[in-house]
Amino acid sequence: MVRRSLLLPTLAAFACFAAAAETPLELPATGRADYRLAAKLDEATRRITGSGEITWTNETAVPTSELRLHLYWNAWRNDRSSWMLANRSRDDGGDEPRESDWGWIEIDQLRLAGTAAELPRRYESPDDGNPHDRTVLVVPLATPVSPGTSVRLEVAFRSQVPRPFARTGVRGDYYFIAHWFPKLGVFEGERGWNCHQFHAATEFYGDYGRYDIALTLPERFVVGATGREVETKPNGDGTLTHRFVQDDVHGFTWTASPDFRVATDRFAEPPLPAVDLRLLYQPEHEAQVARHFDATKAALRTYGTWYGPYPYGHLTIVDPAWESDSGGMEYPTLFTSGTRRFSPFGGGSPEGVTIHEAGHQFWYGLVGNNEVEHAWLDEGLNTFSTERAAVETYGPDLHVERYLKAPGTEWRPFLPWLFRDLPTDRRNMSGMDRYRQNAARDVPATPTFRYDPKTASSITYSKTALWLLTLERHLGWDTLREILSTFFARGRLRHPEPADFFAVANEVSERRGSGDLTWFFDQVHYGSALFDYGVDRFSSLPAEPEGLVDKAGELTFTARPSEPASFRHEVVVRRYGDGIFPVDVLLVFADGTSHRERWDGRARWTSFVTEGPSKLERVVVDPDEVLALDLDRTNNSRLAKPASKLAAVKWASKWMLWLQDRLQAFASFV
Amino acid sequence: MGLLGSIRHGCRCLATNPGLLVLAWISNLAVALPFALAIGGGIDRSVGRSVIHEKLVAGFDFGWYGEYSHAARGLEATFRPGLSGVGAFFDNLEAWWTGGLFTGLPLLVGLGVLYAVLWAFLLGGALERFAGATASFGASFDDRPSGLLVAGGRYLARFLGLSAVLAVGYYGVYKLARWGFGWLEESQREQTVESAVLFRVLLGALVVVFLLLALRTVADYAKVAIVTEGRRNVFSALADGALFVVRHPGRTLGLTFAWVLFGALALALYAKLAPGVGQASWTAVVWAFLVGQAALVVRFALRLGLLAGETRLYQERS
Repeated sequence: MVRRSLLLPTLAAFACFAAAAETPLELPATGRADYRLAAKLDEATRRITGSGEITWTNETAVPTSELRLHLYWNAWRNDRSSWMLANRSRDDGGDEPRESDWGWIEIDQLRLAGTAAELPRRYESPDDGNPHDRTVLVVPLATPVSPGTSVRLEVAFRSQVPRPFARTGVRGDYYFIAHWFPKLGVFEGERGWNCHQFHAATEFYGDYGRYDIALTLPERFVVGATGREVETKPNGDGTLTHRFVQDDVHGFTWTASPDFRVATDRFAEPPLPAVDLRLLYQPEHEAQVARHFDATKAALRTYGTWYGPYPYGHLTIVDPAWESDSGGMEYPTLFTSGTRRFSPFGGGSPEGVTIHEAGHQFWYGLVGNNEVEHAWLDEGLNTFSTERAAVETYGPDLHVERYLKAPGTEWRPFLPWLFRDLPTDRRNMSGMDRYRQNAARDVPATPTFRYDPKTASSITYSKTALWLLTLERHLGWDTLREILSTFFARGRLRHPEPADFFAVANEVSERRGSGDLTWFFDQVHYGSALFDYGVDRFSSLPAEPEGLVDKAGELTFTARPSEPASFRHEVVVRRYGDGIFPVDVLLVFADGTSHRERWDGRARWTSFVTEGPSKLERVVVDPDEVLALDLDRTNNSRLAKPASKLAAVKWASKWMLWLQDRLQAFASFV
Repeated sequence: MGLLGSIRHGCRCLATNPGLLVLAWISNLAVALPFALAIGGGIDRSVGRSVIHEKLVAGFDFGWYGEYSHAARGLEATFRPGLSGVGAFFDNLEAWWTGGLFTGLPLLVGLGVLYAVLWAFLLGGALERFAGATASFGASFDDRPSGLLVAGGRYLARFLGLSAVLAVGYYGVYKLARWGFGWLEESQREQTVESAVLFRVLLGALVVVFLLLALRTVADYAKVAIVTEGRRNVFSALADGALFVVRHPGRTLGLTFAWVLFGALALALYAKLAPGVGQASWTAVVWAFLVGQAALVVRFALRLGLLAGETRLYQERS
C-alpha cells in the first residue's frame, strides 16, 4: 500500500471527504519508489551529473526479476526516436535541431547497493519495437524482488540538457529540468511492468515515493523545485547546493535562472489547509504577480472545495522565460504558468493556464493516473474543472486578437487587443471547435499513446471536458461533483483507471436516482459516437377539420376557419448523429406559453402532436443545452418565420468594412 | 510653401472637391457590396430559422461561429468576430506591413489587385484636378466630372506601368523584412525576455513601414510628375519622383508622416468611438454601419489630402 503519512492529518479534518474514501477502489497495488540523488549542473557544457540511490519496494503480490527505467531524455538523442518521429508527424515545420540542441541521458553506473558489480541492462521498445529508441531501459535482476521487499540501486548518470523539447531544457540561462534522471516505471503485479517509451503526445506515469534531491548550481541562480527546500549549503567554489525533500509525489522537477524574481503569498481559506505559495517570475511580468497568485488561490479554493483538499502545504509557481517552451505544465508541487509581456485581464491568460496547471496538483498530482494510457483521466477532468473554476471566478474569457507578428518568424504576435463585448462561453472554452474538427479521430478507450498524435489533444482534453459538461447538466452539478470528489478521495495517491471512474460514476448516479450511466460511457469512451439532434419541421394547422366532414350522418363541406379557435401542432425532431442522448423539446407558442416534451432520443426521428389556442412560434431541441457534445446547435431550433436578416446584415456590414479597408490597403500600392 | 502649407492645401483641396471623396467612397463601396451580400447570404443561410439569430443580434455566438467556420470555404472563411470594430483596421494594417495582403485567399488578392487598378484610374482624375487647383493661374484642366474620367483613362496605363515597376521595390521590402526578422529571430535564439525582442520587432516594423511609405512617397511624386509634366516614360517619372524626394526629404517625407500621424489619430479615435457588437435593431445596425463608413471616408480623405499636398509641393519646388 502507498504510504499516506502526509494525508492522514488532513483527512481527519475533512470527514466529508474521508467518508467518500471509505470504500477503496479495487486498484492494483503497485510499488513505491524513493529517490535520493545529488546532481550538479555544469553551466558551460549544459550537462547534469548525478548520482545517488533509488529504492524500489514491490507492493504487489507478484515477484519480479527485472526493473524497468525510463530514460526520457534519450527521446531527444536523435531524430529516430519514437518521440521525434511522432512529433515530426504532428508538427508542420519548425526549426531542425542543431548539434547543441539535442539531449540525452547516459547511465554510467548501475549496481545493487553494497555491491561492486554492474547490473546488466538493455534497451527495449515495448510499444513499437523501434530499435533506435532508447527511452526504456530493462535491468534484469539475478534475484527477484519478492512481494513486500525492496531493492536498492546505486546509480550514476549524466544528462545533457537539450534546447527545450516537451517543456524541458534550457534557453539562455533559464533552465527547466523535468524527467532528467533514470526513473522507474510502474510494476503492476500480474500485468508486469508498465514502462512505455516516451511518446510525443503523452506524458508520464510513476510510483509515489519520497524525493530527497540535492542540486548544486552556480550561486547566481534562483532555484525552484518539487518539495520544500530544507537546506542550502555554500560550497566555496561559487556554487550552492540546494536540498529539496518531498514525500508522496511521483516526480521531481526543478528550474533555475538568475533572472527569476521571487514573490510569496499564502492561501488561507479555512477549512481548507493553508498553502504557502512561492512564485518565481520574470521581471517583465512584475505587474502580473497578483494575477498569478489570485488564479492559483482560485484553483486551490474551487478544486479543494469541490474534490478534496490540497495537502502538501506549499506550491511553487514558475512563470517561464519567454519562448522557453516550458509554460503550461504540471509537476508535483510545482507548475509552470505562462503569460506574455502584455496580457490584458479578461483575456484568459495567465489566469486560465494557472488554474489549469494548479488544478493538475489534484488531477495528476494527487490522483496519479497513467497519463500514457489514459491521459483523459487527468487532462479531461482537469480541463472541465479549469473552465468551471475560471468561469466561476472570472466569468467567461473575452476574445483577444494579437497583432505585430514579425514576418518570417515563428514568434507569436506581440500586441493584444481585447474585445470587451465578445465573451466566449464554457463550451467554447472547453475546446468545442477542436473537438468538432477531430470528433471521430480516435476512440478514447484506445491507449492514449496510440492516438493520432496530431489530434490527440482534441480527444484527451476537449472531448472529455465536453462530455463532463454534458453530465454536469444532465445529472446536476451536485451529483457530478460527488462523482468526482468520490473518485478523487478513493484514487488519491493511487493509480486509478477508467473503469474505476465509471464504477464510481455509476455508483453515485444510481444512489442519487439518475441510474446507470454505462449507456453514456459506451458512446463517449468506448466509441466515437457523434451527437447531433435537430428540428426537422413543424406545423400549426387549425384543429378543426377542413373539407367534407361527417355531421349528423351527412358529409358537409367545412371551410378552413379564418380565425381558428385552436390549432393542431405537429413537430418532427430528428437524430442526425449516431450518438443517443435523451433530450427535451420545447414548443413556444405565439401567446407566449410553452410546452415541453421529453424524447429518449433513440429513434432516428420522432414527432409530437399537441393542440392549443395559439400558433406554434418556435421549437427548440435541448433548450437547456444539456448535450454539450452536440456538434450542430444551429439546427436545434426552428422558428415559424425566418428572422435572421438583421443578424446577417449586421455581421455582413462589419465584414464589409473590413473588406473595404482591405481593398484600400491594396490601393496603397498604386 | 512649407510642410504646414502643404497640409493646409491638402485640406483645402478636399474641401473644394468633396465629389472626389464621394466618388472614392462609392467606388469602394460598390466593389465591396456584392461580396458583403454574399457573406450576408452565407450567414443568413447558416443561421436559417434558428434562434441563434437572437444571440447574433444581441452580440455574438461563438458556438454558432464554430459551426459556421467549420463549414465555411473561400471568402466566407475570412469572416471572424475579431474583424469587428477597430479590429477590421488593425487586421489590414498588420496584413499591409507584413506582406500578408498577398499571401491570403487568392480570390481576395485578385479582388484587391483589380480594385487597385480602379484606384489607379481614379487617381489620375484626382491628381489632374489637384494639379489644376494648384496651377489654376496657368495650366488649364478639365474640371467637369467627365474630365475626371477622361484624365483617369489618360494616365491609367502609365500609373499601372509605374506600379508594376514599383512592385519590384515592394517585393524587395517584404523580402528584406522576412530576411531581417529571420535574422533577428536567429540572433535572439537564447533571448528570454520578451520586452527586449518586442522592442527590436517594433523597431524593425518601423523600418519596414518607413520603407513602404518612402516607396509610396516616391511613387506619389512620380505620378504627380506624370500628370503635371506629362511624363510618358514611367522610368523617367520614377526618377523624377525619387530625385524630388532625395532633394527635399524633410518636406516630402515630413508631409507623408504628418498625414500618417493624422491617420493614427483618426484610428485611435475610431477605436474609442467604434460601436461594439451589440446592435439589436435596424437603427443601431445602420448607425454602426455609418460610423464605420465615416471612418473609411476619413481614410480616403487622408489619402487624397496627402496627394493634393504632394502635388502642390512638387509644383512649387520642382
